[in-house]
Amino acid sequence: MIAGRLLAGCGQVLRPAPLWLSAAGAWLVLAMPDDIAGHMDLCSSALIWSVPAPESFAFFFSLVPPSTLLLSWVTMLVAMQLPLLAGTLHHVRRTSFASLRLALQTLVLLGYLAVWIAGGVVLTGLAVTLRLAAGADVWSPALAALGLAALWQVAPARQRALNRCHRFPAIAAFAPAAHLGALRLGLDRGVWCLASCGPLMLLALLMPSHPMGAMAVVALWLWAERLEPPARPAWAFRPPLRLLRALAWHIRTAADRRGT
Amino acid sequence: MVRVRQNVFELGSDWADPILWYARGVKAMKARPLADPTGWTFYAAIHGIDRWLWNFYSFTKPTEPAPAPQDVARFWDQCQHQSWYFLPWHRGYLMALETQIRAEIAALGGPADDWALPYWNYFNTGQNRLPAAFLTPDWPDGKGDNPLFVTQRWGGLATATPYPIWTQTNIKAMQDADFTVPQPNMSTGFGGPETGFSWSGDRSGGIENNPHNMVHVLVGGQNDSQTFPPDAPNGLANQPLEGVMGDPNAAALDPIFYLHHSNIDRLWQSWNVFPTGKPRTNPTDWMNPTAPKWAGGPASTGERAFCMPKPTGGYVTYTPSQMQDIAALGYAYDDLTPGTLQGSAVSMASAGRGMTSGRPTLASTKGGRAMSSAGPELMAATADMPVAGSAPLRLALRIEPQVRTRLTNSFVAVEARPDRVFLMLENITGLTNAGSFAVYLGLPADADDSTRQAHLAGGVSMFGLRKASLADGPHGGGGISVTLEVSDIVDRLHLSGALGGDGLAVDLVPTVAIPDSAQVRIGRISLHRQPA
Repeated sequence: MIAGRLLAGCGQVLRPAPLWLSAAGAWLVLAMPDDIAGHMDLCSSALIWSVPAPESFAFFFSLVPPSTLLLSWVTMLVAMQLPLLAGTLHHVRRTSFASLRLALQTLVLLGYLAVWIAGGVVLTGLAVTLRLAAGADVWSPALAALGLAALWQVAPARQRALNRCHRFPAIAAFAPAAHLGALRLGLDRGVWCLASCGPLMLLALLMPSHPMGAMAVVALWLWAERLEPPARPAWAFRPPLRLLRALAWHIRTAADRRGT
Repeated sequence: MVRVRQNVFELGSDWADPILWYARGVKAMKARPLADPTGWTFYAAIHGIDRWLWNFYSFTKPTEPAPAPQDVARFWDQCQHQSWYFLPWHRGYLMALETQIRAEIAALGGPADDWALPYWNYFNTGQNRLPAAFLTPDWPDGKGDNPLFVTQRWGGLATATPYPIWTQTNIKAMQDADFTVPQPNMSTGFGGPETGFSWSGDRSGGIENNPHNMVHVLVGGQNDSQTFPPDAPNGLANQPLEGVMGDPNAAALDPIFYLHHSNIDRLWQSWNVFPTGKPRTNPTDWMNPTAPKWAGGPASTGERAFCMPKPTGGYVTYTPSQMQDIAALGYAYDDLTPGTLQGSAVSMASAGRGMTSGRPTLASTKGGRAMSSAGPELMAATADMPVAGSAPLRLALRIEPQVRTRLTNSFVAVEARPDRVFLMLENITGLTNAGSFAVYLGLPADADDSTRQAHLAGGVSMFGLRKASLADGPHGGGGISVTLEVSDIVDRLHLSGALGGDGLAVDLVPTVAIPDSAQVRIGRISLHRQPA
């Protein structure tokens, strides 16, 4: 019952089932054991660390083709980032003509993924570069990414980016302006989402062990952050503890009821 | 003990005891610094604070220390707007202030036990003006420093002359039997849409939109002859000076704020129980929400708890469910009649809706039944992004013919109730809190006054607009949206054949000047049908 109330309280962020089903499917694909016949490992960080001590980009990409890296990155996006688009798609659905809804939501999605895929080229490239530079020292790249993510986490610029993700602008109702507006909204969401989440995604790419666990922790953190309201940009660490606070409130209230 | 909140104009004299003791209490609170939780400025900051503005208007000194960070985090910037928590949070806020004022009265040796805030019913004949004790800088003995007087009041309702308030606002929300309506329905109900803490929503509930927001602006107004300096922050630079009542981050500095909210609270109680035996077509009509998220407040979903300081130190937290029964809280109102002025009568009689088919009428159906699970549907919208300035603006809503057919089919269906129709002004942004405009739907170009009144969809106030428009503010810069029910206007347009064309005119007429420098923009204006 408490869990149900909490989920209800999370509102529109959790509503659109197709996004969450897609994400769940992507998690299943990522978690699938390597020994299943015909299965290709699509976990990006596992791919990056699959080549022991590569000496050059050419050598690395001869073993891990860029197309495979791209596919793994898209799978990672669907698993981790797609649910963050739920509120935006709900907004578009709520404010558009029924006849245009599918097209507009598709355009939002395309814009969002386009930014993230472009960002993925940079992030994955950076991860491979760090991997090559680290040689046999598997933890240095992860520690460097952790330092960068930690610094970015408390930066006012990151809070600014998070705040932009809470904005739901009106889009034109009639085509073709509606199509253009939806695409622009998806691109805008992608840019601010990439700006706020990029360093944490880089960290997930560079984890040399337990990559799925690291991805799950990062994803939960990002989803929990989206439940927090906008805040004034400042150098501050703001852990996204809303769900835990809600749980504590319900436990306390239930205990109070039992006590009276 | 039951403490009775009384009409400020019916206390017997301008400076009757409840007002005199209120003034003495406010004076005692004003003597304390910003960091003191029992001080006037601290209490105002519980509603909201813009420290630069407060320093500029000399409510605080730039060198005055702020409270400890934990006090700021616990108490300040709590006001609930564009939210279904609007009414219960403000009820708790009023009660906390009353407790503090009673403590001041007791310390001064006055009659503290039964003191309660008066209310200002600007919808009563002859009472649509500022109460006299708030108009003068002097105490009744002629000496200065009357703490109820505030210089920064420039609105039309802030004078000794009765103001035609019905031309700007109304209490139509009193006829909406739903406190809230599940989203994504277009109606915001009487009390507001479901939200989290504070400004996480973008649309006000019916009673918050009118008269609450509009009265704030009509008292605050703006000073057209003076502007904020060029280095003012938060979008204030070079804008006309605004009255404090128009800004949520300053409004509670004005002692009239609490009498205004006492009246809003009275209207909530009136909506609950007045008149006795009013029509009920649904078990939840005229009742407060029972949803756990409303009852438990934002703390139940992990957000801030509503929290007020106590006169003796410490604090008290509260939930909406604890605020919903005013009698149980020990308060009553001397009169629950909404108002006597033109346009303020709350009619439970039938309106003209469905008159041609003998079907259920608007007034008998409005808000009084469960919403359809079909959800709302966009029917028409402006093609561009209108900019509202100082001049009247006429725009065209482009209608989607298939949706219009579904709407008009609902007018003649025998089994179902007619659709409700809502006009929505989406993503209004700008750098002012002081403006307002009237919105007309389907107005003929040569309309006379009575025709204009028939096409008046409602008033839109800029209360809180600047804060909602700041990119790093609680709305992420998305501004505010306003929903106005236009079912009756659309009915008439349909009956007169004016709904059949490709477009429908929307007129925005500034009723309180909106300076062009305020850059007020409207993301989109749209029309939605809501199946009943």
